[in-house]
Amino acid sequence: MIDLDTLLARCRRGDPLAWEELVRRFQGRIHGFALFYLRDREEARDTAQEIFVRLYKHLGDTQDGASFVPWLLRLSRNCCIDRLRALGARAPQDPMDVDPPSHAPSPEENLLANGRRALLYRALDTLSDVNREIVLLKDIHQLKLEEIGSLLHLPLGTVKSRSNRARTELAKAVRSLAGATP
Amino acid sequence: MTFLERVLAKTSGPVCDAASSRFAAFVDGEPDPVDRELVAAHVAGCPACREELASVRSLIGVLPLVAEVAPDRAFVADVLRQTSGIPTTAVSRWTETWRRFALRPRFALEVAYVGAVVLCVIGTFTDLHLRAVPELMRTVLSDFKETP
Repeated sequence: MIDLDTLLARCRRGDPLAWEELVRRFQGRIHGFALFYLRDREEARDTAQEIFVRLYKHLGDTQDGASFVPWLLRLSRNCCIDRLRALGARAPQDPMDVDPPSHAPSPEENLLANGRRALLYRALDTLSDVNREIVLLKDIHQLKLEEIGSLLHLPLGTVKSRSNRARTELAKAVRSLAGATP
Repeated sequence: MTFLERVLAKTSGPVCDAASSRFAAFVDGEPDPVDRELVAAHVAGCPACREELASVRSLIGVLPLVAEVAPDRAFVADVLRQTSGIPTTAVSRWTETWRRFALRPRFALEVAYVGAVVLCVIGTFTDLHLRAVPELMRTVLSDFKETP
């Protein structure tokens, strides 16, 4: 696999094949990110496209490979928030309405596909907005605490304590919902 | 109730909440060895917390798997179509931005407004006697009327 630094350098030089590879590499992640915020497949698809269009326009501003993902997630979050504002306070779709990844699933992914993902989304809905975003950024997208603090404008200590609390709350919610689901 | 539970009930109260608040850090590999040992010791003697810790551990292992949700097959082609022809260099982006700015319907009005403001400012701070313009106009108009 081509390393991200090389791929980004090629994209900045205007190589269309490198751009295609970059879109392929991040499409699932960005679409998943948008879906997490918007909870609607059509909206998430449109927003993910808009994120890639914005990324393309700002390829010259892209960071090195190591800081590219946090930068891209910041861009994606801004796009999703803009979209949510444009949509107004619309009720989200049922989180069951989400496709599993298209690549060959592992046993854990099978478990997710069999309703676990929907259960997880419902459990995430029980968290506060900030805690939910922290779980999204830290545990799902694996950002560092410092990067999350910078993205959400929160002190490092707050992010750390909220992350701990959010994970424990989420585990309790998953257990409780799993117990309630036949 | 065990002896330990009785003592805790009469002193600090149950400590499960304190242990629970450290589970996430414990799973991440809490760097403080004392905290690690305290949590491990509590969990060893508390079945409810042992179950909760297992649940947090399992959850943290599963969460990264939900990061990716593949869009439909046409997604990449749609993105490539939308991005074809978009300028990426700084100069072309700047040119494109100005071109779009100038093509807006309000652009002429904005230019006129800015021009008027600039004239007023120049008139205020220089020797241009713009206040004489109405008087000059009256003179011109009266000359025009008097002309047979």
